[in-house]
Amino acid sequence: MFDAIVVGSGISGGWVAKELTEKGLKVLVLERGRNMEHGADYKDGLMPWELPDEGRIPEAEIARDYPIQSTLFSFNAANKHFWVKDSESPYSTPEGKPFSWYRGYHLGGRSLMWARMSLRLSDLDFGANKKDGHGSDWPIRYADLAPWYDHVEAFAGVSGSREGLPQLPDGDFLAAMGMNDVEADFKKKIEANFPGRTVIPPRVANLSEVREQHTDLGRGPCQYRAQCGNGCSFGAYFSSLSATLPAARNTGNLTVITDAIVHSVIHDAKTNRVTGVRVIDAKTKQGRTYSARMVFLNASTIPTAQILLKSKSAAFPNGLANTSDMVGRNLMDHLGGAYAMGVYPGFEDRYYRGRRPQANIIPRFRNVDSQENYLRGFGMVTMAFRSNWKMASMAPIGVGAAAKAAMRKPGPWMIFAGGGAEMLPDRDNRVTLHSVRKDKWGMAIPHIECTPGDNDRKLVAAAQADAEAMLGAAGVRIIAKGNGPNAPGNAIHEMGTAHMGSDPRTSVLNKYGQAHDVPNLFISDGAAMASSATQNPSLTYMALSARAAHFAAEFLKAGKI
Amino acid sequence: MIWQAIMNRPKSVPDCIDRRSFVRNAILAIGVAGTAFPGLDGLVAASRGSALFFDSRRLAILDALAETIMPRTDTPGARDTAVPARIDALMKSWASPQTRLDFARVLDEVDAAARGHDPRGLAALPAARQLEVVAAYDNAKMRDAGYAKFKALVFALYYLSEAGATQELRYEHVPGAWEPSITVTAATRGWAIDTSP
Repeated sequence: MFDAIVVGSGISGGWVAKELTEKGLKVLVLERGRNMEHGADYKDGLMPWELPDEGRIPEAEIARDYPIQSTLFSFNAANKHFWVKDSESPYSTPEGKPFSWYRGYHLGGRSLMWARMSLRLSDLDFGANKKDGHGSDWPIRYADLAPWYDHVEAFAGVSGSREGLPQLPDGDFLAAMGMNDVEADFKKKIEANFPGRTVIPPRVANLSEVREQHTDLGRGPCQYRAQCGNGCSFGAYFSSLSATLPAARNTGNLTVITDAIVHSVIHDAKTNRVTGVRVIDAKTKQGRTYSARMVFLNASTIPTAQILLKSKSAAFPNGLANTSDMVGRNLMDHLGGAYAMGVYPGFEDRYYRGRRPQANIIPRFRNVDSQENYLRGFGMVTMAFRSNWKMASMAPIGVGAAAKAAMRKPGPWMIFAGGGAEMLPDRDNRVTLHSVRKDKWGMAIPHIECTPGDNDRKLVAAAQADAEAMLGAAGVRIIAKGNGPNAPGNAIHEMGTAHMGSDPRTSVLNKYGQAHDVPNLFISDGAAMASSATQNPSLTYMALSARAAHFAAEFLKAGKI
Repeated sequence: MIWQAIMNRPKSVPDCIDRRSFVRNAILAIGVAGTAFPGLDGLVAASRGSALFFDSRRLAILDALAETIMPRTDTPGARDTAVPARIDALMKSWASPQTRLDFARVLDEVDAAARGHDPRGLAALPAARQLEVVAAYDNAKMRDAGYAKFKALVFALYYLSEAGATQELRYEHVPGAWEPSITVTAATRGWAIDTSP
């Protein structure tokens, strides 16, 4: 009997495990994927010319096993083992309604592959559902989460600059990673031409400097290698493997079991408490159960809904904690495909050294102080770089010694600006269980139906127009444009399938991340989100997780659950 | 290191085939035709552990084409970095049936163009004439997906080879710092790997 079972070892599950074990609770973390050793299982130390098959994955293998995962730019031979085989991890979508689902089944989950952009939501976001009536009003506001943002940022380590922007609150950041000369020039031009807009350095969970809480865990500073997608043996970016799980292990209160696929949560109708989980061993397919005084679902947005829907009983015929019928509904992502890229004039004598691990940010500027003919907003990123042989290989560079000589020099400056648009919560964008199809463990596969709505499309169109206008104002010759929206799922920000709200009739979780229906069941992964906002969401999952763990431990201690 | 990786791959041909002699025979066949084949050593070295994919005729075209696209100058070229041999190895370890067809077609088309100058094809032409033929083909085929993929592979294999990345261009695996503003001088070379997409 454990004090708590945490289902999932990714970015949110790692936080719950750390917080609960540090409060003295005995915690079992269940991970459906295989074990992954920090450092030993990374291929970040290989030189480019040392990669097997020249860094290439056989085209036939990609077509057979990775048709979806391989569409990510970061997918390569050095990190193939981070991604699921699509052939083994099926889900279904309705004809003509694609949804792209990117996943990794291993200890640490997607905290190994995340892009590390770490942005706080603001009251513009927490108040949005109430203001325009879409979705459930968030049961919390920025003031509720601010101390938890402080808490998780200090431990994780987030580089950034203090800007005083109400729509993108500051934290106690590590030193900012500076802009190159073209980016600085672009910032000047944007601020001069577009009042209310700015360009700021990345807010990224890479250690631009190390503090005691980082060195205590053996984490080192960012080496600016741009190897993050392959894992970081320096522990310079935050992940469950570099930070939260080691901290949880240090307490002596942590048990981790990998290759354990949670089938369902066990509910005792007499006490209306969950008592544990049923697990399928990923290797042997044998079933077994684990017991605990409370359960946290941090399996990620779609599997968390899948587990709840699978956990049917006489008390919960539509799935556990689902009297609201909201489990699986309001699936959201950030809609991409709005961008522009082009050649930036001048600055031929300027260059840089090192590979900064993230792009700069153009914080939300639409519907901040005024109202457009659409609701909500979008965030943007931008970066400038000098093109090299890689881009030249797509250009009419020619062949022979002349082409080689041309590519020896740093190429023309390029700049990119693109956005991710907020999706409105929509009850018809939902995850259900497929009525017939099962995976190789006998689990009903998720059926995902998610399409952008009218407002979502307007936002993408507006982001596209703004990206082009901003580059145009900087004198950029645009050579590539987006044609969004991309299929939902593409931003890998899926969220919303068991959302927080004040009303048990219309939401799944209360303000603590506690299920309205079952007091000792908590959810603090992306499923908990009541709206998508425009910010990359992982930092908010972390803050919600630390906060939920705090209250869960209090309630347990007080004998309330 | 690359060769190590190739040799570690499970063998796809029966052990009874003496790969080295197979290659040498292929080379000799070209020699008989009177064609210079300076990539001999690289191809033989690269074939240790597996038989070649392309036949000797196409290997000769591949060798000449890759070196013409990326020639040796004051730094190594495609041949010095075994680009032709590595492309041949990738035909088996990486390429789909479609890519194999595309690359074979590219080799045949370039050679057909060369035969206007010399019936023995591209490999038999002097370097200046090879450049003329390949440059014309490159210009005409910029939007040909098969050729674009081939050329991008030549670039990638060259610039991400140790010599391409560290002699022709610059590469630091562990920069250790982000210096966002540096002055370009006459001696500045581009980074082999950038943060660019």
